[in-house]
Amino acid sequence: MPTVRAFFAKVGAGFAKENATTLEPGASARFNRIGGRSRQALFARYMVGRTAIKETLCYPADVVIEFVSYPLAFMGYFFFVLAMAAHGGAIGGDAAGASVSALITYFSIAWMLRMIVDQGVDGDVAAEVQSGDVALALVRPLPLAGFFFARFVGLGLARLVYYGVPAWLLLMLLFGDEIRVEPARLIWFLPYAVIAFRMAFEIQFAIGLVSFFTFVNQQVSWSFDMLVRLASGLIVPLSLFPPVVALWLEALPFQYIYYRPIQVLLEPATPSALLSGLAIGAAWTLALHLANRGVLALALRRHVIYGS
Amino acid sequence: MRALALLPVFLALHLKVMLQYRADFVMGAVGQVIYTLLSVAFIGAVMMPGAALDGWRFWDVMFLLGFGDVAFGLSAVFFFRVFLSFESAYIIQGRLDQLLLQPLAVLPALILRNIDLNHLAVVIKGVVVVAVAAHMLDLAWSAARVAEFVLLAASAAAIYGGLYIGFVSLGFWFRRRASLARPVLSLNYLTQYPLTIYPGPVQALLTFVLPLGLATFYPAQSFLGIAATNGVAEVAPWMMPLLALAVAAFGAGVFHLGLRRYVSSGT
Repeated sequence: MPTVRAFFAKVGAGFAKENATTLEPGASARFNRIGGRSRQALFARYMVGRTAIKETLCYPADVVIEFVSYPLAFMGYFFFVLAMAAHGGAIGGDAAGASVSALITYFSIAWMLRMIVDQGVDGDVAAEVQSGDVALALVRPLPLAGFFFARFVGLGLARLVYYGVPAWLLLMLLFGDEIRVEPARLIWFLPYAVIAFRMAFEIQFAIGLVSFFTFVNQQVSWSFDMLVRLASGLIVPLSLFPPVVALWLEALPFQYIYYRPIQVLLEPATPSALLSGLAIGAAWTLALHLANRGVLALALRRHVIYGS
Repeated sequence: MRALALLPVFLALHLKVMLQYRADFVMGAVGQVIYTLLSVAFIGAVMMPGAALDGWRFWDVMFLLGFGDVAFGLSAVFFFRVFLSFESAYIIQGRLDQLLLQPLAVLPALILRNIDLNHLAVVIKGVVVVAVAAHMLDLAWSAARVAEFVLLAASAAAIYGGLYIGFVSLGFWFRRRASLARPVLSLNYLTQYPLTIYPGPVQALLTFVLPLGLATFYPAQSFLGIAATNGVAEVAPWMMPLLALAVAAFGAGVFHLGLRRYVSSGT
């Protein structure tokens, strides 16, 4: 039975052979056209993802620093919820109906997802635009979005192993009594998580594209990240907002990054409801992808790079 | 003194740069508003109406949040860019060489070059939150109270600044690509809630080891007249400027110790 490694080695050999004969001026355009349909492109994406993982591991201190940063950032929420429960006997405010356990479990999963998908693609795209390196990116035999998504997948895997799982263990150690997940619901959670992953990429990439138009997008990135945190249910589950606000937020796609996947784990639902939720999430992701393609095409038409 | 004389010149310079990217500033300000809404939404969602955490009611917590924003924003204007990029840009890429050649002390030159006026949005937002919280708490403002608030906020900002400089200076000893800024910045998130919600070791860490909590929690507690509970100390307002001077001096001391070890990367 062929292994994944052997499969990619075979694909790679094909890529190298064709690359040697066809990558002349203009070939990259042709390569872009066949994009995700070709095995060469698949291999190129695999190599980009692999390189991203290796880059991460080149700096072990960075991994430790990044890992430590996240729990410190979100511990406040846990202690605040626990303190309110300890003082009032129950959670108050809009969360009166929610149990401490449900809130702690919600925040645990939300922040674990955040550690995987919060990769700063927007900043990376902006850096390429600002430095002019986007010119080099555009001559790669891989579409710009494809290149960044391949990196996103590679880094996502690395983050799952080096941040997500250890963070989960840490949270279990600290709040294990309060974290309750039904393993059977993981079957539905996984496809929702895949959609969350892709949607998070599309949103970060979209913000990165803003730099083609404004050059500097640091504050735009930060502001939009705040909006996403608010509208995706990362900080407050959407069900705890006032009904009117919740209604508005549920009409937006961001809920599919954190709120929906976590609800799948926490709340019982019928298969048809789960399937329709999945379909809507996928449709939103596709719409974002198509919008990004359109905006990128528009950006590249008007973008000027001053070579030196 | 020379650095102080140059401060208005650099402020004008950075203002011009900021005005080149007005949309970015406006978006940053919008982001600050959303961030505040997030914090209010979370605390409002979880905190029972009329409930108090060791004497801290909803609007007391909001006041703490606003005070923290004022202090953090003030420090961020002068130190945050250094905090984020010092190790990679100045030590690994060697940009510190330029500063060593300039006719101004290295640390002031570093700070002046990296002023970021975008963070004024945080200060403004903090002032608004404090004003609303103070109104809801029926706090009476007088000239003396305003002066006390300004002094406490400036002291807290100096404590943040001293800590940031101390932390980035570790880059002279431990070279790496990522800044130690992120964990310290993350710790800062913990200080937007009353320290009493945390276990003893965390309270001690945020008070004595990395005094981010010392900078905001204790002054706010004192300003609001909330009685200390559960063995939490009270810090008199007059002590804050002294503590700020000590932390700032510590940060500058570590920086100058590290500077002696600096070896240019030659790039």
